[in-house]
Amino acid sequence: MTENRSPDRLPAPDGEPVVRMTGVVRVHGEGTGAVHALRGVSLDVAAGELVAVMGPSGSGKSTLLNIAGGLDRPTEGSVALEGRELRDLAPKQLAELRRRSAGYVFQDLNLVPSLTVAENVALPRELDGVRTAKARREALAVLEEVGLADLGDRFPDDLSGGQRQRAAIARALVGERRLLLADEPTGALDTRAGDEIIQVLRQRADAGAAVLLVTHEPRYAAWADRVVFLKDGQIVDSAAAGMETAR
Amino acid sequence: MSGLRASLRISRRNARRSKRRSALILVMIGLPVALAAFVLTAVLGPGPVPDRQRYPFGQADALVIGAHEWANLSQDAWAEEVSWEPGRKHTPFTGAEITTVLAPGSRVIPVAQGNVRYLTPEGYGIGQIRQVDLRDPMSRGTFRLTDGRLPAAPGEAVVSAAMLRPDMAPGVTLFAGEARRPLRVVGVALFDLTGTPPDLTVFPGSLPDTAFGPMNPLLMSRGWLVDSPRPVTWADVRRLNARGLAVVSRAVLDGAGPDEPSPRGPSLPQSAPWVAIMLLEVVLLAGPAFAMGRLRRSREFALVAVQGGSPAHLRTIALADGLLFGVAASVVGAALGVGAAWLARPALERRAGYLLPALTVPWAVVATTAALGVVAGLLAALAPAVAASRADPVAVLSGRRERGRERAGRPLLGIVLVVAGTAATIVSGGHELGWIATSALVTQLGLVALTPALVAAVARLAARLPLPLRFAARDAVRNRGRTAPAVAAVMTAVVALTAVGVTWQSRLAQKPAYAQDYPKAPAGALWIAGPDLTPGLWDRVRSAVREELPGGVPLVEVRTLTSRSGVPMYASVPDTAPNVSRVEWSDASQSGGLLVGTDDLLRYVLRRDDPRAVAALHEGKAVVLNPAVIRDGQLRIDLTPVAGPGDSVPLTLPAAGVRANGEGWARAVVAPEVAAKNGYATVTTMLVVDPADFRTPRATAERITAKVERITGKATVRLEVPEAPDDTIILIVLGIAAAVLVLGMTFVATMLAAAEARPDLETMSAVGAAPRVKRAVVAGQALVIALLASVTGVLAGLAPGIAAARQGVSHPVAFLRPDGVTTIVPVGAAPAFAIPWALVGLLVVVLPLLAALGGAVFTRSRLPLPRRRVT
Ligand SMILES: Nc1ncnc2c1ncn2[C@@H]1O[C@H](COP(=O)(O)OP(=O)(O)OP(=O)(O)O)[C@@H](O)[C@H]1O
Ligand SMILES: [Mg+2]
Repeated sequence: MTENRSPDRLPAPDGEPVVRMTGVVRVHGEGTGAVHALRGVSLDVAAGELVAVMGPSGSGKSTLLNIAGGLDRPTEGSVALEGRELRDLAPKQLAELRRRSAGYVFQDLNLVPSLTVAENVALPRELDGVRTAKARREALAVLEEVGLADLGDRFPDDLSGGQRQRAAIARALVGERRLLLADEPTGALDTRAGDEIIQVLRQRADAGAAVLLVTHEPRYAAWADRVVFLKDGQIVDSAAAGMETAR
Repeated sequence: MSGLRASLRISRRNARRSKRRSALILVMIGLPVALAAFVLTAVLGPGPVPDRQRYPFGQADALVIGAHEWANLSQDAWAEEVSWEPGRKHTPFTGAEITTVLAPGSRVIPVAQGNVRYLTPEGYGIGQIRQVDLRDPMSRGTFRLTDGRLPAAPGEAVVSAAMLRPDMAPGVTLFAGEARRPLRVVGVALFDLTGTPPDLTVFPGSLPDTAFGPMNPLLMSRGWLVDSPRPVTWADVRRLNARGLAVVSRAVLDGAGPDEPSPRGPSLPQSAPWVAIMLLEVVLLAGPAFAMGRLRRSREFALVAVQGGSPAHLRTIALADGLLFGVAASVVGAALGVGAAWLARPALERRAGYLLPALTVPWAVVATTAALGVVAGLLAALAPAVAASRADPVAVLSGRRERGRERAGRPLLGIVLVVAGTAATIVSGGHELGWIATSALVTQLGLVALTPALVAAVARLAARLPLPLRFAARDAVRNRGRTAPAVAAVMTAVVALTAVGVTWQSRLAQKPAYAQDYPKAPAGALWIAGPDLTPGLWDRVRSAVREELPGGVPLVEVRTLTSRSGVPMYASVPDTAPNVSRVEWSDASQSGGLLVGTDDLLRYVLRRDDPRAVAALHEGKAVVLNPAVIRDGQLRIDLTPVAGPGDSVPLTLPAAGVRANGEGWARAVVAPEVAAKNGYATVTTMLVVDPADFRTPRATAERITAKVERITGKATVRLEVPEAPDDTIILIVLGIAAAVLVLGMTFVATMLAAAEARPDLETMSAVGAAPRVKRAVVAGQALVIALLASVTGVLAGLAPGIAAARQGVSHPVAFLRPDGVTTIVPVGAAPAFAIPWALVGLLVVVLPLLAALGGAVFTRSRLPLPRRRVT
């Protein structure tokens, strides 16, 4: 299972979505102070699909992403990642899932500052027990795919914001992971760097990954196969984006 | 464990990134390891002194001694048991004779050694003198010259560094033995400790053979060092035995193997409680620093968790810190400690005044110490590691503060341990120190478990205090996981310091605390004792004393017996007091308590005018203070010369028994005429100002002391007045330790607290709090930690301190009074307790305030801009 295959050659989507959320409810706190971050959200993301999540601040976008990757647990409803129901998994198994199935990219400060870029990317593999040398080879391969072939031995502090985000994407994908969860990955970047990042995500989706992207920028929604609008923890609209025209 | 390599890599990189924190942790773990390694190597490192050998080999192959009359002797390998007949007349072999019976090509040089009395400009001394050519290659390794040069001609000597005094220094001429042979000191050397190390080593020919006493193979009094072209085998030894030579051969001894190793170092049960206390202290000290590291890197931990790091992975990464620092600090610390012990050897040797046996590093013990350092690192990193594995990555990444999931410690367990430990401490009072330390350790662990609850209690008390203090106390409670170890660390140090202080002070209060503090003469008496002074020196001392005393104050002259040639005689006067072989303190009169003098001495000794005693003295009788030892009106004593040849001779004197008022200050007194009539001379050994005649003021006594010291270093001057115990040294030693430990630890803990409270402080400054509020808050944090820790610590330290103070004198201690009488300190003198109030004040008041002040001064009052947070 640690076979070195690039995301370009992922198995073709077989109809089963990579992640399937059904009736997900997430309540923070209890009693009068309870906050309903999600109120019954159902969403499928298939392989090769880039889904954009939009909505006002506090609408539950980050919560949705956290639940999709097993970082957070739903209060109600079910989440299945690559066909596995997450509800019954122990924290240890959830961690394993994040190493093998789902990868996260946040707005910034994604990388461990004391590790080089290649080491950062190799980290999930090494945590998974892959030997250092092999993990490094895999990391360099993925870095090449995101266009950072020469920067593997730099430290994150020596990279530009866009390069850092690309490294984070590489790390989220290394080791055949099929679900990429990106929470405002362009939020800290200027327009040009932001555009580049979206293009990388689009490429990964085209190569077979399932990408769930939270963004405030309607511009980037145009790159998505589908746009989901969240409001007060509910999906208010879901539209196939006019991708062809945007391009 | 998968990911250990990655974890170690992260630890290593982070250690390099935050250099100050890394240095701090390295010092906190490495320093104790280095100190322990240094002490262990310095104490256990030097091998045992070969105690069965009478003379160091140096580069020689063998040591022989023999006489024609000893033919067919038999011996063991060390020549400790030699069958020979002492006492008869012996004809020693000459060097030429010995060379002919040794392997062809052998070379011999003469050696002689013995106890010799010598005269220095400040009086007599008795000590081992060796006569051997130190320039000969065979002597190499037995000494190291530190000053001057080696003797090159008869009459020249080097003095042992241990004996170096102004009256025995290069340039001084000494006179040795009965014949008063002049010896000019030309150098100073450190001597090997094998056998009896010499006071002086003189060039061959300086002293006659007779000065070293009779030929004796057991003492190696007059022999030869052999340089042989081949090893001297046991067969050779037997062959030489037949000729009448006793032989100690290096080859034979090497073949015999070493003596069974005597256990080196303290046993495990003895050292275990101390090791545990050290470990606890190091763990508590380093713990907060690791916690600080985890806090700083909480985002990093969260990122790893997001990327699929399981709780076990996060624990590994946090523990890798402990492993990394533990190993690095221990290895470096142990190496430094061993290296320092090695480098300090010349200094230690100079301090000891002797060459120390070859240093073998006690690797097992040092390795154990280093292993304990690693354990300390891992234990210190354990709590932060568990916290790291429990943290919620989503909360950290979204900038939400984690809910205080801090437990209130384990108060019940704490109370049980404290009660059990205190009970054990009370029971162990007066027993072996190890038990007290173990009980105190149990109490301490209980207190550590109770600390979170104590911190909470303090916060309740702080409710009515001004804002900064209230904030600091609240903050301390909210972050109990961080405050508790800091408080516990300071507390543990304070407990130890208080316990030591109480024991020390109590020991002082238990007056007289030490054998040398016991009265050695009647209260108020001023005495000057100098059994080794010449009559000329005594004249100078006498006139110096007279100059300081008012005219007409009588000086009681105390004399003792000597041989006609002036060798002091030890008189064993029978006594019914119990025999104690060990004398721990001596102002060294070898008289044995038989004093020679006139009426004023008698009055001084008996503490009254007794006409019957005076009459007896004038009749030529010995006045004996213990009448029980008089048989048929006679006192029988044995007189032994304290140096030189001659055996003890009995002397029987008519005697009168007179009991003294009080204990009496001699065993017996005789008149000078009696000594002369029996063929003995006398010398002055002591001058006394009888308090019945004159009470010498302290200032006068001090002036007399100073004057006498200028005349000779071989006299003791003492005014018998009770001295108030001097406790300044307690304050200085413990005070410095307290200041370093309490302030240092509080500082670390406060920095940690301040770093963690930064968001709150940022908020405060954002709503308009003045910069000094931040200083006040940091000061408050320091105060809370230091005050809580020192108050609890002082209270907890009292019990073990008192318990240890109850340990009275457990074995009889004997000391020798200047009148030559041995006195025994009673066993189990009533214990006394005293509390070092100055130290307590320092710990409870001064240091917490200083800590607060330091916290305020060293805080950067300008707040950095709030850091951008990420949703
Ligand atoms: N741990 C928590 N405790 C209490 N409330 C929470 C917690 N986490 C999220 N919330 C609440 O849940 C709601 C949804 O939060 P979420 O972070 O998902 O919003 P978002 O859509 O990502 O907003 P933004 O665009 O500002 O990032 C918010 O009202 C938030 O206050
Ligand atoms: Mg969000």
